[in-house]
Amino acid sequence: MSNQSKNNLTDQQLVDSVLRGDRHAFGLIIKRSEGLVAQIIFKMISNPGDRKDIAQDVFLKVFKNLSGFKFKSKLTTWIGQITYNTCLHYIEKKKLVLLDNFGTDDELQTDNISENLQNSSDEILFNKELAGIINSEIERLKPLYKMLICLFHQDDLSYAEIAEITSLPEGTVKSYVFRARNILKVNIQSRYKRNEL
Amino acid sequence: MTTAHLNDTELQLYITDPQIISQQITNHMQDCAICQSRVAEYILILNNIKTAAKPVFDFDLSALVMEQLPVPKRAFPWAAIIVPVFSIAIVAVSLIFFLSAAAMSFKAVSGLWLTVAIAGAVTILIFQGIEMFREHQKRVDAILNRKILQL
Repeated sequence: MSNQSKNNLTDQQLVDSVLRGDRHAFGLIIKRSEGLVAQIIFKMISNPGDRKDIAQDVFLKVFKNLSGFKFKSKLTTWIGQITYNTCLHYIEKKKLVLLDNFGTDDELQTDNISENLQNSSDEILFNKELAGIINSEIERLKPLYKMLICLFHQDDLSYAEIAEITSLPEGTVKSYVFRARNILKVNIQSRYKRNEL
Repeated sequence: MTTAHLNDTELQLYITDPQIISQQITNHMQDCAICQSRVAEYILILNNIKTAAKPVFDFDLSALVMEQLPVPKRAFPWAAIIVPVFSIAIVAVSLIFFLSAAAMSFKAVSGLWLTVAIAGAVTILIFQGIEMFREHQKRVDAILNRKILQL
């Protein structure tokens, strides 16, 4: 079978192959979903040492439960769901904070700061280090926020798909993504102002 | 036209879901430099997120997982053991009980009939051998295909 036809295999064909004992088909499943799994793990787990164990754990769970996959969603979405739940379990075990009480006061001083910084906003926008600042500010967001914002804007997942992965209502996901963008923007502006001062 | 500036939710909707915002907001955006600037900030941030490098594992996840997958337990080959043992036992018992009768039968059968019987048996064995060889080739091809798929 050529590489092209190998890549054209549907979720159903891949799962059937694995269940028939074809371990190489499982390798293909890993390759297909590795990007999404990495995105979720990197955004939710800050300790690099634990990411490797979690990633392996995710795919061992996928292998173990593959016969129970009902094809009600895309295979990658289902694997994303397992990844998210595995990360949640890790966060609970380590007593880490996934998302606190939205930090409405300390994180979201939205319009005032934005207005105050309006004069310097051009400088912010055209700062050559903006990409670096944005990346570091994304890393400073709460795990759930940074995962949601990256799944939506980097992986181009829909609100519905993200809702399926996180088992959150679609409206909640939408609201969190809005909030995450808002916090990110405000933090970038605040940080820029601090640096300038 | 709305004179109040757009709030953050409206600004974000203007970027991500422009089809659902009201005409009033659209009109305001056309004339308000402040809101345009705030939208531009958002767009720049979101474009930076979109073009940022996606995280990748610095190890071969596939290889790591594959070596940890549980090896399927092979069932004890009862059939491969029982069938030959049972066959040998039947032949042995038959020989013990019917050896003398068989010897008499062979003596009674003419050389011609014996030749016909042996030739028939050999022909059947040859066909069975060819069939087994074909089946073996099919399985080898399937295994090779699987290895190519892996590559």
